[in-house]
Amino acid sequence: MKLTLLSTALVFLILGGCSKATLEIPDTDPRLDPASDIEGVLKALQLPSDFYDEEAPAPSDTSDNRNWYIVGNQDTSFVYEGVPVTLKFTGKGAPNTYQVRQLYLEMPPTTGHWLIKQSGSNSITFSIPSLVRAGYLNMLVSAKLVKFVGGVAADSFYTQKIKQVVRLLEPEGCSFTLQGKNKQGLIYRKINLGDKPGTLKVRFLSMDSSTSNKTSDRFDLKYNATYILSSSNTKPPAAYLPSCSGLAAGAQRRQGWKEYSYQYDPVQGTKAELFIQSNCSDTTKGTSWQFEIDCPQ
Amino acid sequence: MQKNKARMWIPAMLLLLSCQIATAGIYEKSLLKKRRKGGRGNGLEFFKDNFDIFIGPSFNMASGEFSVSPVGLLKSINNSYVYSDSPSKNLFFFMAGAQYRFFLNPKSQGFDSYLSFGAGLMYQRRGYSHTLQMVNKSILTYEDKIVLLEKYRANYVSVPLSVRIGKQVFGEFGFTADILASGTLTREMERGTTGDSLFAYYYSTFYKNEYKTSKVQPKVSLGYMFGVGYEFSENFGMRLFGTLSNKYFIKGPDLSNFQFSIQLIGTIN
Repeated sequence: MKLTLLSTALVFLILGGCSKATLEIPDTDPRLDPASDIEGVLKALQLPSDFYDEEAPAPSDTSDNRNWYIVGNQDTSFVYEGVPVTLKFTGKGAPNTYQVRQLYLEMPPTTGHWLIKQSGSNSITFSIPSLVRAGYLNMLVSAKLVKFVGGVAADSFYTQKIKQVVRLLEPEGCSFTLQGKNKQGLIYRKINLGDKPGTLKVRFLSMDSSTSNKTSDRFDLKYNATYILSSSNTKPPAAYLPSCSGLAAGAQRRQGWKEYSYQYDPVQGTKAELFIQSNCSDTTKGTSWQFEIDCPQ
Repeated sequence: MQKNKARMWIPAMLLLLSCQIATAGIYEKSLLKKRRKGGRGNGLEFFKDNFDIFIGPSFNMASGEFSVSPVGLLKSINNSYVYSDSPSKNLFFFMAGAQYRFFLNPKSQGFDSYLSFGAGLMYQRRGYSHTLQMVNKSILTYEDKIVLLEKYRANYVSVPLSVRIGKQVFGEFGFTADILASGTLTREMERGTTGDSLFAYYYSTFYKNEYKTSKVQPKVSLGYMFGVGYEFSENFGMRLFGTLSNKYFIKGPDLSNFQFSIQLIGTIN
């Protein structure tokens, strides 16, 4: 009697505990996965537009030889979370009287879309919030071409949907090396400094082909909305935007290695941004640089 | 990985031991019955066993630090969201189960007459609800808010192995081998705008996904149990019962779970 009751309870409990089949979670990271949470990722995008929980308009009939379409300036874009990415498009085939007035951004197989109103730029700029983990965002973009006569929309045409891939990159680990030679440009990296507080050490080597002791490479490390380390003698203001348009100041003053350090506390967040202005001065021809960072210790 | 394997031995041994206790008790009783039938003495009066069925509401508290704070993980450097998260909510569930219990020496005059050993099966549900909020207020009179709700629920079949001290008033303690029957993690994202601005856009969206968590959870884990109770009669009693466990996920938030329950106990002698 007692044994029967015990076995019945066992069967009941095991059967009662079973649940319907659902997606198996790979880890306990709370961020949305672009591979499995497509709808969530689409809805989490940051862009100044309206979102609709329905499919974007179907492409117009092209049997009347109106084979008009858009092409993306590039098929794949690479971006870090929180950093704006711009997808640019060019209209093809349509007469000049038709202008791109709306763009539709979708992520199949989910049905919702963002409607981006245009006034001539033919581009979509958005940010992917940190709520999304690294991965590939497979997007479809289509456009509405409108013909205006006397300021009134006289005709409209919906293009085919073209594929655009955005690869969301994981921030760099806190220990890595970067180097460059002669190439001119701004190098950007997002860095995850980790959960451990300690002294963050950075080493920067800059060599210049010029005979003077000055160099033409600059680095700036931004954390918690301020620049914490820089090759510049004067601390850059928070609003400073590094670019590679004629470096006038801030390059490492002497040729060779120099070490920089900062007392890091992860309470203010774990992410930092690195900007390297490589050979951005107009006055030099060749430079060679190396950047080394170690995890806070 | 090696560490997890090593941990699995403890609940597995408990499971084995509890089976042995139940089997030994039942076997001992059957032997005594045979002896009585064969007229070779009567030892049955020195043997006593019970079968308890218990059920009751439970109050679940998940506590501890997330090994990676969601806010720390999500905090970005150059977007305009302000992040906040809430501690895990306490939840109401229920517990139910049955156990076989035998007395070591019920007729004795000493302390051992107060001792009984139990082994059985018990259903318990665990979980937590955690909310993470991201608010974008880059435009003064306008707000874009994302609320991410994580709801974790898991069903366990536990094998309690306990020692009870007392008769009418009793206290008990022991271990449980907690076998994961199923676990789900539901994530809901609600996003909407409020306020007004010339530059504002308006939308209200909702997203939900449900995941099985069996791959990220230990199949069997070790827990602890304790209780105090009172028997109103030979067949009916009540107890305040608690379980404690400290492993939710193989790798992930380092949370522990405490659950207490007020239970009614029915006893078959």
